[in-house]
Amino acid sequence: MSDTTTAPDSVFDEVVDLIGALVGDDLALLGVEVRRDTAFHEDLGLESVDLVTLGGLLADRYGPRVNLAEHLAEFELDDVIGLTVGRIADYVAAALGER
Amino acid sequence: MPVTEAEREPVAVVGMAVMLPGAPDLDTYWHNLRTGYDAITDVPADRRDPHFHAGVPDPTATPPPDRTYCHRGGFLAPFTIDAAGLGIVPNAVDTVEPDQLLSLRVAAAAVADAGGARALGDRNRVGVILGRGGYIGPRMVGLEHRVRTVRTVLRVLAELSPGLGAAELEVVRAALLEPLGPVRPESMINLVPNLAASRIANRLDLRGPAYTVDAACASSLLAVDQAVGELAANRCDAVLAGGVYHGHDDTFWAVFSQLRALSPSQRIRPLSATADGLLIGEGAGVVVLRRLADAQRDGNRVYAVIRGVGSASDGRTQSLFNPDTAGQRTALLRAWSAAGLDPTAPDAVGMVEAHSTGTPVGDAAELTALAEVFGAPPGACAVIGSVKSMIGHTMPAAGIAGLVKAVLAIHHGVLLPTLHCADPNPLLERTRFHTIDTAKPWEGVEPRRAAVNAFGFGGINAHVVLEQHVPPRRAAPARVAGAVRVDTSEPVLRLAADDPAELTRLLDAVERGERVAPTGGRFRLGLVGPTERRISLARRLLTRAGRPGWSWGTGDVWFTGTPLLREPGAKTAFVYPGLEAGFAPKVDDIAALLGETAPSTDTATVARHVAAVADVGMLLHRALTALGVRPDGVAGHSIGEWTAAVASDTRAGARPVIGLDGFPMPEVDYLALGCSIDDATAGIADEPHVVVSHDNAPRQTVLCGPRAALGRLATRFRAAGVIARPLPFATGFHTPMMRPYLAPYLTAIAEAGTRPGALPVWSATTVDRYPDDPAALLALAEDFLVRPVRFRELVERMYAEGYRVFVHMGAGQLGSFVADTLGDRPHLVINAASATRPGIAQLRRLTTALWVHGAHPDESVVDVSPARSGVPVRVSAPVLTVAESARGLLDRRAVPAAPGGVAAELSALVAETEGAVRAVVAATTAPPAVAAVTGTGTGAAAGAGPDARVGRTRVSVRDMPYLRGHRFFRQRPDWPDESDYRPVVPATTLVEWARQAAEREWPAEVVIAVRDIRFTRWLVAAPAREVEIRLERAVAGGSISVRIGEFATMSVEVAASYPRATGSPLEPGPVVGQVLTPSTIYGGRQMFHGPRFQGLTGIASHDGGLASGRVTVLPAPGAVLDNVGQLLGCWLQTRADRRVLAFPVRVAAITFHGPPPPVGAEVDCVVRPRVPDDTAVEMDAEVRHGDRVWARITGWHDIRLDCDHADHAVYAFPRDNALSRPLADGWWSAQDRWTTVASRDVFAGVYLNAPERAEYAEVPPRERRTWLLGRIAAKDAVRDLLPDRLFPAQIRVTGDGDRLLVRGHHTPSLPRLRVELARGAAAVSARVERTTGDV
Repeated sequence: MSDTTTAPDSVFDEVVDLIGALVGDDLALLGVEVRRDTAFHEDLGLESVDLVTLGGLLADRYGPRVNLAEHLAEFELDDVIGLTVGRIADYVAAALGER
Repeated sequence: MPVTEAEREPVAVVGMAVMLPGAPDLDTYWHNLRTGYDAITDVPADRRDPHFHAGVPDPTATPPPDRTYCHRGGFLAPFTIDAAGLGIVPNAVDTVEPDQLLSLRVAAAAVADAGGARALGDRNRVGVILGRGGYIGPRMVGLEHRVRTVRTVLRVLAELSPGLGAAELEVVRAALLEPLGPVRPESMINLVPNLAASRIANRLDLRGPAYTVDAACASSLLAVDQAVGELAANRCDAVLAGGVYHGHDDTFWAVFSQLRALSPSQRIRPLSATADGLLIGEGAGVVVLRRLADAQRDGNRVYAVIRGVGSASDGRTQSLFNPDTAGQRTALLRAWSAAGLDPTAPDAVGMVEAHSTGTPVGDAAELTALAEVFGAPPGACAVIGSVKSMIGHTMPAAGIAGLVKAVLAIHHGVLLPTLHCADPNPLLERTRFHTIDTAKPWEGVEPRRAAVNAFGFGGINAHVVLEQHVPPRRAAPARVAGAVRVDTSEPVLRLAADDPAELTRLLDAVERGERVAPTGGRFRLGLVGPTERRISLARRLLTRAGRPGWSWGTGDVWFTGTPLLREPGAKTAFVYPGLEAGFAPKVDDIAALLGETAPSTDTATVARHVAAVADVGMLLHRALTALGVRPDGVAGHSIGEWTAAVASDTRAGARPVIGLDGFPMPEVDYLALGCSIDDATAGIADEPHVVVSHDNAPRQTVLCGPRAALGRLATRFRAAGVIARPLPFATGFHTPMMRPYLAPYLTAIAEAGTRPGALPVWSATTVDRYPDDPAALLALAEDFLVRPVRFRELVERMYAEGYRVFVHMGAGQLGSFVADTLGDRPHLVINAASATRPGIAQLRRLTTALWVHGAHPDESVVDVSPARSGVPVRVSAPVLTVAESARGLLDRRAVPAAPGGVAAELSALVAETEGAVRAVVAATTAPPAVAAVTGTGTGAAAGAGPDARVGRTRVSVRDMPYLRGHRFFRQRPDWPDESDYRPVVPATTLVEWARQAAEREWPAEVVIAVRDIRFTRWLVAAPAREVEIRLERAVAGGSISVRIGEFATMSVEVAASYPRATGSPLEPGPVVGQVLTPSTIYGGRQMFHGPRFQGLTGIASHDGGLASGRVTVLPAPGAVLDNVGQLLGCWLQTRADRRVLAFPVRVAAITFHGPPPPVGAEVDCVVRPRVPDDTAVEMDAEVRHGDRVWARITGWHDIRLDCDHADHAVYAFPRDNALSRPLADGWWSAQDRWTTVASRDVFAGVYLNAPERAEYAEVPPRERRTWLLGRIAAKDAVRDLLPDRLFPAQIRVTGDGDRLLVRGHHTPSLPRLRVELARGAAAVSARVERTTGDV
C-alpha cells in the first residue's frame, strides 16, 4: 500500500515541518535541504530512538490513524536505518487515505 | 548458453583506485584532471642511462637502437608498498617486479574504496583481470645480467685478451656478480609476469579467476570486457579489472624510438593539429565491478554504470602498425549495440575519452571512426579529450586511466580539459566533438553518458559505454553509503582562538591558503576533511559561536566555546557495547595499523557474536591507548561490561567467558520498545513470564520472555503507538530466567580470577563502581546475569560523578542511548568505530572531537601516509658494473690516473644512481691509498706527469679545529670519541682548498671560477686521515682539474684578474613572512653547525620566490659559501614537510668577481631556490660585499634525505627525542621510514656509537635495516626507563637475535639490562625485559 502511494506535496511539507521540529535549528545549520530522498540517519543524523519522538509527533498531528510503530513493524532493520523522509510522507498519505 | 551482448545487464563501478604520473591516489588524480595538471617531466636521474639518453645528432633521423631522441615522459613518483598490511616480507620487496607491487597496492586501494573486501561478497566469486604487456621489468633485467650478460662479457674479454687466465676471468665474474647481491632462488617466482594479477588474488584472498590479458594499448579495456562477461555469465559476483604498465625499460623506449612514435618535440599533444608523436607514461588503475542489481541490493556506492563494451580486430589490413578505421568502427558499434543505444542520437554521448596518443596517423584514424559512428547531427555537441596530454601514454594501463577519468567526470558532473590543444586537429570539424581547455560543469542531459576508446598495436580495438547511475527513488542507503570516502590522508583542520571573531579570522586565513597553527584558545573548531560543504557549515556555526555554552558535533565538524575536558573534574569514560543488531564495524585497517589480525565480525551464533563484539572493543581500546586517549573510568552495556572488566584489568585472563561456546541459555527472546521503563513496566503487568531486561534510555526499554508472550505484547504496544522490534539474538541474560544456567559462567569467571582494576568499572547492575573485594566482585558477576541492565540510570550516575565525554567503543546505537539520557546537558558522545567509514577515518574524527573538547591525543598513530608505513619499491634496473675491488683489474698498462678518464665517467654514471647517494653519505673509513708524499697544506710535490701537482694534507679535528663547527651529530658534552660526532669537511671548504691550492701553484693568476663540482663522498675527519689533492692542467693557461681524494672533483678556471660581474643582479622583492634569526637557525638547530660556521645573522623570504641572508665572514675556509648553503637548507625547512634534511652533491659553477671578503666583514647573499622534486632542492645565488658582487653560484644541487620535522627533532636533539614510539606495556616500536640508504645512515649515525657502527658495517646489507631498527627501538625503550636523559650513543647494545644486552658506553651509571625484540614486517619493537622482582 504505502509503496504505491506517493505523498502529495501538502502532506510532504507537513512531514518536513515535523522533522524540522525534531531536528531543531540544526537543520538550517547543517544546510540540508529536506527532500524525498533525504535519509533519516545518514543525512539528518537521527538515531533509532528519534523515531520514537517522530511517531509521537505524527500521532499528535494526525491522530491514531497514523501509527508509525505499526508501520515500522513491517520493516527490515536495514530499511529502518535507510528510512527516508519521502517514505515517511508516503506512509502518512496512505494512512490518511489521501492520494 | 552464451549471453548475447544485448542481454547483458548493467555493471556498476563500485570502487576505483589509480597510481599515475602526478597522482598517487584517486583524489589527486581527480584534482589533476580538473585543474589540468601537466605531469610530464624529464626522465628521472635514477632511471636514465646516460648513454641511452646522451642525445642524437639529428632528432629527425632514426637514431641507432642504443639511443633515443626523447627524454621526457610520465613517471610515477617514488612509491612504497605497505608490506606489513599486505603480508609481504619487507626484504622480498626488492625481488618483486615493481609492476606487481604497483598493481597490488592499487587493487587494495580499489577494494578499500569499494568498502572493503566484505562489500564484494563471497570471495570465492571475486575475480581479478588485469591488462599487462609482456615487457621486461627491472628485476628481469637483473636476472638477464646474471644469466647471460656476465658470461657474454667474459667471453668477449677472452676474445679481446686471449692471455687472460681462468683465474683472472673468475675474479672478473665474481666482481660483476657481487654488486647484484646474493642469489635467492625462492624469489625467482617474483619475476613471473602473470603474478601482477595472481599476487592480488593471493594477498587479498580472492578466489575467482585471476589472470592478465595482453592486447597492447587496448589491454585494460579488454580486461574490463572480460570482467563484464564474467559478471554477465554469473561466474563472478565482483571483478577487479584494470591495467598496469610500469618499467620504462630502455628496450621499450628503443622500440618506440625506432618506430619514430615518440614526439621529437618532447611534447604530447593529443587531438592537436600540431601533434607529432607520443610520450610514454606509466602507472596502474583498477576498478571494482559488480552487477548493478547486486550493488544496489548491498548498498554499494555506484560511481557509474557500464552499459556496453565492444571489441574488434582490424583483420587483414595493410599493416600491423597503422591503425584501421574500420576495425575501430566495428568495436564502437558493438559496444553501442550492447548498450542498446543509438550512437547517432543527438544526446547519445556527452564526452568521449579518446585513445588519441598524439600521433598524426593514429589521431586521424580515430577521428574518422568517431565521425562515422557518432556523426554530427544538428544540435549534437560533446566534449572529446585524452588524459594522455597530462600523464603520457600509459600503454596497457591507458584504457583504465581513460575509463577512470570518464567515470569520475560522470560521477562529479564535470567535463574535463585536455592540455596542449590550442590548435585542434581539423578533422574534429567533421565530428560532433570539441576539446576544452578548462573544466566546466556537465549540465543539461541526464543520464550523463561517456565513452572510452583504447586501441592497440596489431589492430585490436576496444570501446566502453558508461552512464550515470540515477538511483531509483526508493533506494535505501545502506552500509556502504555514497557519502563515505575512503581516504587515507584526509586533512584535518583544527583552529583555536580566544574569541569567536578570531576563530572566523583564522578560518578566513585557512581559506586563503595560509598555514595556521592551532593555539591554546578556548574557542575550538575541528573539521575532518575540510570540504567546501564542511567549511560552509563551520561558517554558519561560527555565527552562533558567541552563545554561551553552545557546542556542535555533527557533520564531521566539531565546535565549542567551553571545552568539556577543561572544566575541573571533567572525566572521560569508555563505554563498551553489548550485542546489537546490524553489528558491522569497520576496523580492519586499524588492526593492520597495529600489526594485528583483523577481528572477526561473525554474528552467526551468540558465542561468536559475543567474541566479535569483545574483540572489536579491545582492538579499539588498544588503538585509543596508542593514540594517548585514556579513560577515567569504563562501563559496558550488557556483555560489554565483560569487555570493560577485561580492559580495566579487573578481570584476569585474556577474555574470560567471552566466546562462551556451548554455555547454556534459556529459551527466551528480547523485544525492544520505544518507550520509557515506566511505560514498559505498566504494559506488561498481565504477562507474568515477561520482565524488563534493559533500561537503555528514556526512549528505549527491552523486554525478555517467551516468544509467544512477546508477540502479544508487540502487537499491543504497536497499537498504542509504541515502536516494538524483536532483537535478532536470544540469551536470556539479565533476567531471572538465567538462574538455572549460571554455574558454568560463574565457574569460568572464578577460574579466570577477579581483582581490583586500575580503573573504575561502572556496573549497570548496581549503578555503582565495581567493589574491590573479590568475593563481592564474584557476587556481582552473578547479579549481572540475573538482574536488569540499568544503563540509563548508570549514565545519570556517571554524569553526576563528573563524566562528560563518553567514547563509545563500537559502531552501533549505544552512543545514542547516552545522548538520549543526557539530553541538552553538556556532554560529548563519540563513536570509536563506524559501520560506514574506515576505522582510521573514524579515529581521526574521534581525535578531532576530543581535541576540540580539550584532550591532547597523539595523532601520529593515525598518520598512515604511505611514506611512514611503507617499504620503498626500487624501480630502477641494476647497472652491470664491477665491484670496487676489481676496478682496473685487467689494466696492465701504467696509465696515470686521469680525472675525466674512465674512472671519472664511471663515477659520474654512478653518481646519478641511487647507489651514489649512498656513496655520498656513507663515511669511508680507509684513507686514500697513495704513496707517502706528505706535506702540510697543499704544497707542490712531484706529480705523476708534467702537468700534475700532487699535495697531501692531514685531515683531522686536531689539525683543523674549525671542523668542530661542522659536526653532524650531537653528543653529551665532554664525549670522548670524536668519531661519534662525525665531523665532516664542508663541501665548500673542499672548494676553498682547491681555490687556494690553484693560486698557490700558479701564483700569477687568481681563481675566477670553479665549475662541475661534484661531491662524491663525505670527507669525515675522525679518525684523522691523509688526503691527496691533485691538480692537473692539461693545457698551459687552460683550466685546472682538481681531484680531492675520492671526495670531490671540480674544474678551476684562473685568469690574471677578476672579471666584472655582468648581467642583471638578483633583486629581491619586498620581504614576506617572518625573518629568521640566528636563535632559530642555530639555537633551534635547523642547522647543525657550531659557532665556527654560524655566520648567518638573518634570513628573509621575498616576494617573487627569492630568499636573502646576511652573513658575517668567519675565518673557517669556505665558511661564507657554506652559509649560503645553510640559507638554502633553512629555506627548505620552512617549506617542506618531508625530506627536510639536505646536503650538497654538486654545483654547476661558482664564479668569483673579486677577492674573498675579509674576516669580520658583512656580506649579503640572495638566492633563488627551487624544488625540482621531492628528492632535491636547488639554487642559484649571488653574494655581494658592499655594492659589488663577489661570487655567483649557479646550479647548486642538494639531495634531500628522508626526514620529516618530527624526525628532524631527533636529529637535532637526540637526547630529548626518540624515533620510536611507545606502545603498550613498555614496548617501543621503531618503524622503517627510509627510502634511501643514505637517509638511513644519517640516523644510524644519530643512534650508534663507534663500536656499534663497526658492527653495523659487518651486517649483511639486506639485514641492516632490521638490525638498525632493533638497535633504535632497544635504545629508546631503555632511555624511556631511565631517570636521566641519555644520548643514544651512551647506550651500548650487543647481541644477536631477539635478546639483546645493554650497558653504558662511556656512561658508568647505566645498569646492565636485557632487551627483548619483536620483529614486525616494517617495524621492530623492543622492551626492557622484566626480571623477577622489578615489576
